Amino acid sequence: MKNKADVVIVGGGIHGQATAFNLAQKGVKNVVICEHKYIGYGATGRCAAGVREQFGLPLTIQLAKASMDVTANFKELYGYDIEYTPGGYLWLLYDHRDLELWRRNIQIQNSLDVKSFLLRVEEIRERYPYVNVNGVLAATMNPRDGYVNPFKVLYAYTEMCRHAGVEINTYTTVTDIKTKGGKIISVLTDKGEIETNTVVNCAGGFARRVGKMVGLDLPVKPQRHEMIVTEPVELFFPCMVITGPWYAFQTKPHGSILMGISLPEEPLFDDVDSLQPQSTWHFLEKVLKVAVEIMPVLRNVAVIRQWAGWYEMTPDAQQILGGVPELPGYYMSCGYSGHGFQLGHIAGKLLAELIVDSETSIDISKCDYGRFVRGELMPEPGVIG
Amino acid sequence: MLIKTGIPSPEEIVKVKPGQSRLAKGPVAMVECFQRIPCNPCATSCPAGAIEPFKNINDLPKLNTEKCTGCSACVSSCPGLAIFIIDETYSDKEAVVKMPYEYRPLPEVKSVVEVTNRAGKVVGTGVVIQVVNNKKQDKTAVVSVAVPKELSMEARSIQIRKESTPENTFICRCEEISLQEVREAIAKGYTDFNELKRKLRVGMGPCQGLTCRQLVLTELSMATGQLVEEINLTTFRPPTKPIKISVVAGDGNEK
Ligand SMILES: Cc1cc2nc3c(=O)[nH]c(=O)nc-3n(C[C@H](O)[C@H](O)[C@H](O)COP(=O)(O)OP(=O)(O)OC[C@H]3O[C@@H](n4cnc5c(N)ncnc54)[C@H](O)[C@@H]3O)c2cc1C
Ligand code: SF4
Ligand code: SF4
Repeated sequence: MKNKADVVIVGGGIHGQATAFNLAQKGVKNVVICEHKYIGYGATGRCAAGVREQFGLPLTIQLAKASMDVTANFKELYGYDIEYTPGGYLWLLYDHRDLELWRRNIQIQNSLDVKSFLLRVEEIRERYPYVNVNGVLAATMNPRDGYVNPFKVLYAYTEMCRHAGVEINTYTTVTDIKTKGGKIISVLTDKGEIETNTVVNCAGGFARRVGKMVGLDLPVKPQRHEMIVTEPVELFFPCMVITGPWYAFQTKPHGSILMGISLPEEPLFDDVDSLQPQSTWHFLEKVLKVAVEIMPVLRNVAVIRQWAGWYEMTPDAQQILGGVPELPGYYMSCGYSGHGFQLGHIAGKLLAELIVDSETSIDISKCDYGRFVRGELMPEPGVIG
Repeated sequence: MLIKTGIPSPEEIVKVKPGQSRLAKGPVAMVECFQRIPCNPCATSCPAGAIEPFKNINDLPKLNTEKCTGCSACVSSCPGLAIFIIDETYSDKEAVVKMPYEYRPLPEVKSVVEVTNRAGKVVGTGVVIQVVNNKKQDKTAVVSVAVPKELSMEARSIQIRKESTPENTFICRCEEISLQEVREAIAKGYTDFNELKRKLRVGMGPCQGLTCRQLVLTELSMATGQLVEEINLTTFRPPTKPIKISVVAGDGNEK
């Protein structure tokens, strides 16, 4: 392990790696990633990897769209096939308030060049006959939304990072950050000390801990979220079917179906360690009960695996992306509140711009940590759960 | 313990071993199923009613060895490949073990094969005396192997001896991942079992790593010089055997 670095990144998930790669591309020589376990241990290795532009806040839509541009062209840009499957998110709406909200969201999306639209019940029935439309008022659809294979994306970054000279240290935990005179001087790990003036907190559900190391109380709280996967079956639905808390999609070419549901009864924790990411029977029952309601054909399919991960929730369900005036050299890309995988490409790019050029091609000043102190929250209406 | 290591412990095995007097009478099933999971094809497939009907779908199978005729119908029914037929009366020195076999190609009758134990370690050699693979078995063949008598409680799988190459040796049969792919990934720096699992999908298929785990660990251990015990194991993720959605959720409201 190097004992001196230009930038030390805490966390080897999608955000740590995308940031490291973009820094290296911008010519930063000595970038070191410290990952507490293996590559893919965090939420990135446990997520659904849905990618969409259907959000509610203009800024989120803008970021999601910019990230989608990378997702859709990943192969051309970097040479890796990440199994991007654009089948659209079919967002079923059951409630008049939601319908109004999404009508407005679609207007904002369209004004930002996202080609989403509303589908009437008859259209849903015709295009997606396996979806039970009982109680459905309408659905939104954006054909460019879809999903990717999260491991393919993550390991593409791992290989690109290694190739670009980024040092990735697995099983290396950052235990403290030393400062002197309002500046970072080094990072302490269980494998030794690394001298550096710049640290990026990409610790996902552990971000709070890495904030405390420099005296910041980041309001990032992990919440357990689980998923199941079924045996592979013949490909029959191309889109992500989503009700809000519940979602399902079929992976291509593999054919297995992935499903999840957000359960409001899951508590927010201070730390991933107290959350214990274990699968529960409670979740299995809940997710499957909705499954047979929304898509009755699923009842004959067998579930082969279940797992748990964590969302990294903030009070407004939005990320913290940027630096802090109190401590130059300390940056954060965390608190993505369960929709952070898809933003990896753009967040990594913008943060690298901020660190190297001190300005960014999309204005992210509102994503700062200070908004919680100032009370300027920017709640995102389009979150799942 | 099975739940921790993927390999049943000697205590677990002793519990399901048919009695010596029953073994002396001829072929009998040995049901090495130790995890309470919602699964019952063994009970429903047995024509002799030797595996008691399950009161609860999560029950462990209970075999009445006196009723069991050793017909082997249950062997290919079990999705966990947990049932074996033991015949200690085959000859003076040899016993026959009938085992479920899902690799391809199938072994040839009369061929000499390497016999492995529950952990995938070679413990001796045996001779294939019969291979049954009909439609009903849904690709789970039943291979009968004559082994030295002292291996009747050890021999639980076979390795075909042939000119195997890394390309044609499949480490993970569910996801069809070859030894070559595993070696290449390790050479690229994926030296953690969890990373290999995520990168290549080894151990993510319906068998949940029962067959490939040991093989990948051995490869990793050879490449990194770590002992198999030192390599960080991947989490066993329930359900360890497939469950039909309606078993958990009912049939929904739609008729
Ligand atoms: C079930 C589920 C479904 C999801 N579905 C989607 C989806 O469809 N679309 C989407 O966009 N997002 C989704 N998400 C959210 C997404 O997974 C996360 O927002 C995203 O992966 C966060 O990436 P990250 O790099 O910030 O964090 P992580 O991937 O969690 O990485 C953080 C890493 O930091 C390491 N670390 C922590 N502390 C330290 C330390 N002190 N020293 C060294 N290393 C440390 C951890 O080990 C971890 O590997 C989902 C999440 C879950 C759980
Ligand atoms: S071997 Fe035949 S009789 Fe014995 S338990 Fe299996 S199916 Fe039943
Ligand atoms: S795994 Fe095999 S032995 Fe166990 S209950 Fe299922 S069919 Fe029976």
